[in-house]
Amino acid sequence: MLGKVPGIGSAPGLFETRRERTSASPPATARLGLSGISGQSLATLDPLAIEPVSIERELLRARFQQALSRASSGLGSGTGLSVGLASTAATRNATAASRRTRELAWRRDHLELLRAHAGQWVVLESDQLVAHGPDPAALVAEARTRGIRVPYVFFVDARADDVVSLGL
Amino acid sequence: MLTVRYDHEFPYPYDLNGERFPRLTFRLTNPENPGQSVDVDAYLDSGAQRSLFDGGIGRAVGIDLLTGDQKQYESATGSSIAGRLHRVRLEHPDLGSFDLEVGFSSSRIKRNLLGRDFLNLVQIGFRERRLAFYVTPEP
Repeated sequence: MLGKVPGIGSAPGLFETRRERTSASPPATARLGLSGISGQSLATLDPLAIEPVSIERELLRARFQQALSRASSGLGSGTGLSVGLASTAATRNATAASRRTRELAWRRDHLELLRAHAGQWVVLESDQLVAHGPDPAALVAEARTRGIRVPYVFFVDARADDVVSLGL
Repeated sequence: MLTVRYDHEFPYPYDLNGERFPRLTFRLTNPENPGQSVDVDAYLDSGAQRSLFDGGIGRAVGIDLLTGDQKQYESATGSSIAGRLHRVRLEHPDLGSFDLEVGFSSSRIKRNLLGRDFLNLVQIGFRERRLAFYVTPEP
């Protein structure tokens, strides 16, 4: 009944020596590779595929829509979330307010506008596209001159349909 | 029975192509110049040995990319780019604050990557089928 949650790692001591590890001298070459994580398009998600089929269909659909809404807004959720490795039961006690939720929602809702800036960095403040261009440092400087103390800057990454994204 | 408890659940946000990736938005601060911070996206990449951010992000918070230990960051293809190591503070409203020595690339990269050095500071689990990841902000 139980399975292993990917990414947790069952090796003893994996997380136990935080400070010792971070203080150790790193190798000269750091490897960057695949995280083993692949994207999945919205269209391929089937609510019946993510829960046991015994659950009532309408309830399932409602939960699915809720999850999609959270995902597309970029909201994280919950303190005290319990993930049993065996089951799909998870308890959410609260919805946490993650950083830049308004901007993340704007990004979700303005894909066409953002596509016009594909391959560029963008500074977004609330629902205002403040600056865009090739150099994030220049954009941040420009945003600061406009009174934005801590700008939110991100890269607009648009890929062709036949391109698969890797870590680096 | 093995049970792991996590404090927070995060759905993978969408990107421009409608794909979803495990990503968090952090406030990145240069501890040597605390008045300069930026909010940036960073992708969780368990295949990355160390974290790597675009060099322009470093410059945006006043980091001199001609200083700091230099590392070569090698991709799966064998090609590599250089990065300069600098200590920064990453803050997240739910997860708290992390002091981390990250690389800032000498050439442009599309995605800021949080590698295993960051994963070493938290407990994290991925549920790809649910397009969600789970985090407890302690090792």
